[in-house]
Amino acid sequence: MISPRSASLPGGPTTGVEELFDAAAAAEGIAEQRIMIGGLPIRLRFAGEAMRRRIGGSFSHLVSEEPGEGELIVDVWDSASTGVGAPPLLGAPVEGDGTGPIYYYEQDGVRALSRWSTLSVLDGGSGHAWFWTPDPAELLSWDWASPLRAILHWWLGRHGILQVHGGAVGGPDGGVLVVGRGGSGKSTTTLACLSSGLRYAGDDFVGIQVEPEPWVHSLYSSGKLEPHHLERFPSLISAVANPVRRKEEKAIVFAAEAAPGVPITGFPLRAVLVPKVVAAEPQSRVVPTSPVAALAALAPSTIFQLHPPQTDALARMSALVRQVPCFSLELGSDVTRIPETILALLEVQP
Amino acid sequence: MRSRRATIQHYVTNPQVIHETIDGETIIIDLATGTYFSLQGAAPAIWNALVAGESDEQLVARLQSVYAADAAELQDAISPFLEELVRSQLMAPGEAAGPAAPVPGPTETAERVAFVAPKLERYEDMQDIILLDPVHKVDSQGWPHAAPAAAELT
Repeated sequence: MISPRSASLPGGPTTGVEELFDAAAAAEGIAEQRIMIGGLPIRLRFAGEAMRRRIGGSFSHLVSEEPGEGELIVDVWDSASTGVGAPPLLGAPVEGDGTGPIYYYEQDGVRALSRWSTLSVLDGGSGHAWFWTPDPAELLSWDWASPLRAILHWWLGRHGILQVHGGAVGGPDGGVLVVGRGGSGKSTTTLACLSSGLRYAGDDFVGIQVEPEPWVHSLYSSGKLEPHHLERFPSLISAVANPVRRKEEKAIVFAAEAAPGVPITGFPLRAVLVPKVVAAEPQSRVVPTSPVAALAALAPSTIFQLHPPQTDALARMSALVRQVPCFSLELGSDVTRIPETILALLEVQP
Repeated sequence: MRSRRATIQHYVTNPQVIHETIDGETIIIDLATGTYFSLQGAAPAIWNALVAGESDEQLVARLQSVYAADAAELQDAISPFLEELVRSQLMAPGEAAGPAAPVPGPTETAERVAFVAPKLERYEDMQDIILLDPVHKVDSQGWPHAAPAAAELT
């Protein structure tokens, strides 16, 4: 596997990535995808088609040709399809994990994170970002389903949108944020709503805005399921995008393909739900819970997946759960009946 | 007759700890370890008083004005809780930084309420994320920095 080269960086922190992307684009051409998140225009420029095919589907519901000020440009390339070598590492090694070393850099408005054999760079001042991976075919499922997560976290965070660990379903008039640690039932809850009349804003990561009113912004149309949970969703089996995957990876589905028209760009937030598998009855039900219980389900897993952890993230999530009612969603044994519980809740929540 | 403590003790919050209190309930997150905590009973009132800079002596006086308990009962409940806060590296004995700030939480009322002993609930289910994502290991030197045990995790 190709790894980023360690190199000194004369001439500025982003030197190297710019030249390499330009070389990749010269070799393969540029394919563009313009999207809008929370009113913020983002232009994805792919060097060739390989990476656009790999990660573009996650953003297909956010495509917008609307002009906007302060556009973020994200240049995306890979080495396998373009023949252009790996970029230099930015920053210092920060330990490592089973997928290799992790590097982080932050200085003068530039942030970079190298992990999972990818490199993410954001120059916040100029509104320019870069994402590189050695081979699209080797992209890990979480970078495939939730691509550019570090870059979006950094950029949206500069504009008052906090990326949180949670799913969301609802409609133009309002919806719910579904929060909890992995395995709590977030994906089961949100993916169960794909054919229910509720619309889908994500199952794992969404953006939230507290002011001027609580709002959910969809980031990805993807959903992830433990392979043994697929049997609960027989209609999704044929839509699994990665039928061949590593044993530790989840099955990925793209709502825009599995349920066209169902993904939504965002909605006002009416309630926070903390799912809990009870399965005592077929139907699910909601029970009021305290804001701190919702915060405990939302905040730790959000904060520990942000790079770097935002010092004000807890306060912002706290402000959110103070403003909207919070419920425990006791999941029944019949997943097809989850949506009716959420729809009933939304009917009574102003 | 119980003897009074010989010294007045203040506590300082670990800078790697963030916390929020809503409606009398408190959540604390240790960014360095991934452990998070919820506070039960009188614990939120104690925590917020210590964060505001009150000494242990001021704390007992405050709690006496709120709860239907005498100083000895409060001291017996508070001491092990304070020890647990220190053992959990959420707080450490320290010097007063100045006059205590206003303390959020229960205040003196005409009728004192029943005292419920403070309790610290610990949750370590974020450890998996921390182990997978050691980039979050932080300290007062800033973020990020290489940890000495890096080789063991690769």
